[in-house]
Parts: sequence; C-alpha cells; structure tokens
Amino acid sequence: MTKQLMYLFLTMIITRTLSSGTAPAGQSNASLKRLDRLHIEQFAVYNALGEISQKAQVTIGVDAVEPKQESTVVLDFPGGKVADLLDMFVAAAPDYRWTETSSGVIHVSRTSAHVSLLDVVMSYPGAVKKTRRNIWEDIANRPEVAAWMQSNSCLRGELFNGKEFREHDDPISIGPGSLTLTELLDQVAVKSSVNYCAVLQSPSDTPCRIQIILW
Amino acid sequence: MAANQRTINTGIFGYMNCPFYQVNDQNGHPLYQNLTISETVTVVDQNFVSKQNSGNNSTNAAGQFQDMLALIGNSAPSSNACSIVKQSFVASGNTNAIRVNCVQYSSTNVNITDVTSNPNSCSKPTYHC
Repeated sequence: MTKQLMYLFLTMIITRTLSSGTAPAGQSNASLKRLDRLHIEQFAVYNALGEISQKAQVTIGVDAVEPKQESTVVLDFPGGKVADLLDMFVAAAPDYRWTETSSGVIHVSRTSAHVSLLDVVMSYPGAVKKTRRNIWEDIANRPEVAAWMQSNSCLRGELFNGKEFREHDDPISIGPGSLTLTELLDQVAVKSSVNYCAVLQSPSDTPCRIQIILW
Repeated sequence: MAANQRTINTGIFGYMNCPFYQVNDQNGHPLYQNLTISETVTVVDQNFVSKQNSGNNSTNAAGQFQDMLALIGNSAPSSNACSIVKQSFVASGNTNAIRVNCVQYSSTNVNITDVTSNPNSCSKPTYHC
C-alpha cells in the first residue's frame, strides 16, 4: 500500500512537471515563494508577465517569436506559490511554458517560437560599475549579436515610453567571460533589481524586428 | 494641468508629452507637501509591441509633480500605431488613486482623458485600437 502511494505521489509530481513549469531540485526556488491574492490584467503576454514579476517580486525572462495577435491576460490569483500563479498564467496562455533556472530566474517562452538570438554565445568583456542602461545599449555593440542580426536580416525595433530607465539604474558589475545573451540579461535583471527582461521577435511572416527589453 | 511637447534628437522618432499635476486636498486646495506618487499602468489595447512601464515620482514642496508620456523609436511608428493605457496615481498616505487617466497613444500624439470618477470606463469596447 505504501509503495502504491509512493508511485501515485511520484506520478503526480511527474505529471505536474510535464504539464507546467520545471524548477531545479535542491535550489532556493523563486517558484516556491508564497504570494497573497493578486489580480493581473494586461494586454499582451509580455505586459502581463511584467506585472507578475513586479507584484510577485521574482525575476522573469521572456522569449517569444510574437504571435500575430495578442490578447488581454486576466488572472485572479487566490494566493499560493509563484508556481501556482505561473501555472494559472500558462492555462490562460497555453502556447507558453515556464521553467526556472538554478539561479532562481523564471524563463517563460513561447512553445515552438524560441528566439535563437538568446542562445548566441558572446565573448563578453565585462561591465564594471555600469548602469542597466549602459549595459543594454552596449548589447548592440557585441559582435556576436551584430552578426546574428545581420545573418537573420533583423533590425532592432524597440519602442520606448520614456520610463524605461527611471528606476533600478544604479551601477552594477558583470564579470567578463563566455556567456549567452540569456545569461547576460538574467544577470542584469537580477543585479539591477529590475526583475524583468524579454527578447521578442516579430511574427515569422513579417520583416524581422528584434526587441531586447531590459525594463 | 499644462502639457508641453518637444522635438526629440535627430535619428530618433516620436514624441514626448509632460503633463504637470497639482495635488489638492479634499476641499480642492493645493496640498503643500512632499509626497511620493506611485504609478500603475494597465495596458487596455495595443497594436504594436512595446512593454509599458510605470514609474514612481515625487512632488515638490508645493505638491506638484510632472509625468512623462512618450512614444519613441529608432524608426517612425506606423501611421495606425495605437496604445491605450489606464494610468493611476496614488499619493503616499492614501489608498485610493488621486487621478486615473485613460491615455491614448497614436503615431503622432498622446491624448489624456481624466477618468478618475469612473476608472472602469477605460476598458474595451469603449476604448480600443
């Protein structure tokens, strides 16, 4: 009987892991953080995830080739773990999935619509006491990023509302070395406490535009 | 509330509008206090990709603060660009918003409608792109 219960328990864990997010075992998991009741309402997934990162005070990185049409995401979360909130989000936006890195950053990506720019490995020179804005501006100067943009016939296409760097722009440092764009954005999002980053690519049947959002 | 607009640097397209607010007391008289102003934004509708941000602000000793509403890019926004955002300001020591705006960005301008008396009106289908 005990053995059967154990199998059932394991099956439940595996089912949950496959149906929603995954978090590394044995880490200090952001997804286990407990939250009170909260309401999320934003047009477009990237805005909704921005509100989640603010209200839950967890770092979220978003990765998506954009769908042709966005819609409004409304979540009335009754309270529980961050993982429960993210599962609720995925139920509302079923073409997205979430995972958690070993450093406690939650990655939310659109299934089958990954932006390969995030995997580009850079020989990063490091940033010493640079603001989030300095580091974001310097991404365009990274030769590996420029090469990816050129080979994919992509242009940058961010639109700003003027408040991107008003807060969380104190100097931070990032060590030099070989790292992917994902790893760089994660580090800056955590160290600056802005807690959000996204790389969004225009829909596949439109001219390629990339938005690297670090606000 | 006075607004002013100015031209952005060469090579960058868009506009910036900086409305000026005076915080009043419940009797409509200026509140001469330094206050922290928290802003929350809810994106109601949008036909381009742009993450909307809120920002905290603070008043001067005369209870005045200036907001900034902008749409700026490295290329001109498309002529039908549209974003509708509900913007709420809460002053320190208060729970209710002192001002709620329904902000409509277009390719060339931003229009601000005061919906403080009925914040729920800033929603679809009344406001849509």
